Amino acid sequence: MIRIDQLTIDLAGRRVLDGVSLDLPKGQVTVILGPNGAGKSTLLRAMAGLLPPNSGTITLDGAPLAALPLRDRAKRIGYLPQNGAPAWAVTVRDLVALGRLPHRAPWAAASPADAHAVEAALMATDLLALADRTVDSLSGGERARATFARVLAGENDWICADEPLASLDPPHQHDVLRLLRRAADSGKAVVVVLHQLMAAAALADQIILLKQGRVLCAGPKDAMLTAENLSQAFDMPMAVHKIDGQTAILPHAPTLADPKPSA
Amino acid sequence: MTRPVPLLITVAATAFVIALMAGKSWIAPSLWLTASPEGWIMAELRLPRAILGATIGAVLGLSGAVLQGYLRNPLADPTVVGVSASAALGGVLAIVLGLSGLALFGFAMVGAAISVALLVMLAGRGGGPLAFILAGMVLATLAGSLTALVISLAPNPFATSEIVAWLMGALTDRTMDDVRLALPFMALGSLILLSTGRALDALTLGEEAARSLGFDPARLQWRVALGTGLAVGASVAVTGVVGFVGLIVPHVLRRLVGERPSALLIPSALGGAILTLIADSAVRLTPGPGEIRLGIAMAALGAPFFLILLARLRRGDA
Repeated sequence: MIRIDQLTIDLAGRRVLDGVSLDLPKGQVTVILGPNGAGKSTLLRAMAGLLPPNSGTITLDGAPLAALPLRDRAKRIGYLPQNGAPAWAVTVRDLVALGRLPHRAPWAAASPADAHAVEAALMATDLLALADRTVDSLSGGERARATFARVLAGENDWICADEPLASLDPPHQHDVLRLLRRAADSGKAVVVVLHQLMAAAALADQIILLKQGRVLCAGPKDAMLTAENLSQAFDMPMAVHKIDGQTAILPHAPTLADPKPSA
Repeated sequence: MTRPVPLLITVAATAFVIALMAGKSWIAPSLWLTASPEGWIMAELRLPRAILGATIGAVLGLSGAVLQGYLRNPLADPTVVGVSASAALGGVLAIVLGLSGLALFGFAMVGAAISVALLVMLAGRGGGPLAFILAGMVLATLAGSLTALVISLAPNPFATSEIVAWLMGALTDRTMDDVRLALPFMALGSLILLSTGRALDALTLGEEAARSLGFDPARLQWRVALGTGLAVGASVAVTGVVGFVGLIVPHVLRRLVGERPSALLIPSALGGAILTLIADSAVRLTPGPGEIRLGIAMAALGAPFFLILLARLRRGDA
């Protein structure tokens, strides 16, 4: 498990995370929610080892993350950044194979294990038919699956995904949510930053609500996603409804018109 | 996808043979090893010139491919990051001081070394490609203006004309001594540049993803700067500034080998060698007593190409 203890991070002189302590178990999806600027992405990047803490520690199965050599860390934690549009029009297979880089010895060619992991990731994301296409010819949804397949190919114990649903339509969002769910069911620890509250309700086992760099509350989904917690997190009245076994979360704002000036 | 490396090796070998044969007098291979005037021209003039043409072209193509991959920009080349201009400044200083040969080479290499140190310092620790290219442009401009200053302070018109001729880049009258001087630096620089391939591939996904795949951005930046400094610095030190090879070659080959940055490195080295050998053979065949400088020929070739490239990029955006 990842254990975060009293994590504090300052960015550009501003305290972005302030004394965050959390446990993140394997085999579960943990979703980080909170308003813009709450420190969600910062927390995720710190977990992925991409930001050094100002104080506090992050341990990975008991070992301090900061002491882990870069390559070992890369083998264990897969990180899916926001807006991961590839810079070059490589083929889908080449893109997915990038996930194997931490596993390959310097100057060595790809091993059969590498090739196998790439094929498995392509199959899991239903991309085998598109494997030889270049990524610039893919639709947004296909590209999202390809970048996720890149992470899967790394065969990491941990997957940290930063807003993987951004700019996807509902069916493609559903595809990505299913892939994340399946990764957790296969025993990985999956940590996701999301803005879509209903997607979070559908996906999460655990929820972390962040506000102004602090943990507002953290725990099992059903206990966390209450009208009270969400209203407090977002400074806006929120209502939680159950419809056909799904959770619908609605901001209580009946009109977008400006309030009439009183006479 | 095609595997163009064997083809490129064949073409490069052919271009090398042509470069040995071509000139004001054509020398058939049967005379190469004979104790004749032609044999002497071959051993003392043509062979070092062809070796330098091939190796300089190779390091320019290779460093262009590495820089384009590192900066994730198809318009980058070694002249953009200030290494060429700084090495040229060192060379110009040496000429003004009346130095030549080994001393000139040393001055140019020191110029390149200073530019590498400044480049990494200005770009900042762990600084990304954007800081790198800005620092490089500042360095290139600074070195360029200092070079102009040195030329304007040159003691006599002969020094000025010598400087200008040297700056334009040429392979004329180079000897095996030049080859022996430059080759080790170019080889070491090329090895360092080739070692960046995987990190460049990882950068396809952006800087954060590359770091999450285990690549240290500060180390990568050092390797890019150092490899370029050694390889391109040595090439400028023996031939002056030859532009556009590093820009054109990776760009043309990218379509052939696929866009994966590491797959482009060796083909770009081969392509650079081919282009430079052919261009240098062509300038030797120009009619008249003298010959066009290689740097000028390359610029005349490169500028229109650059325009076409820009036009195509703009159409692609529309």
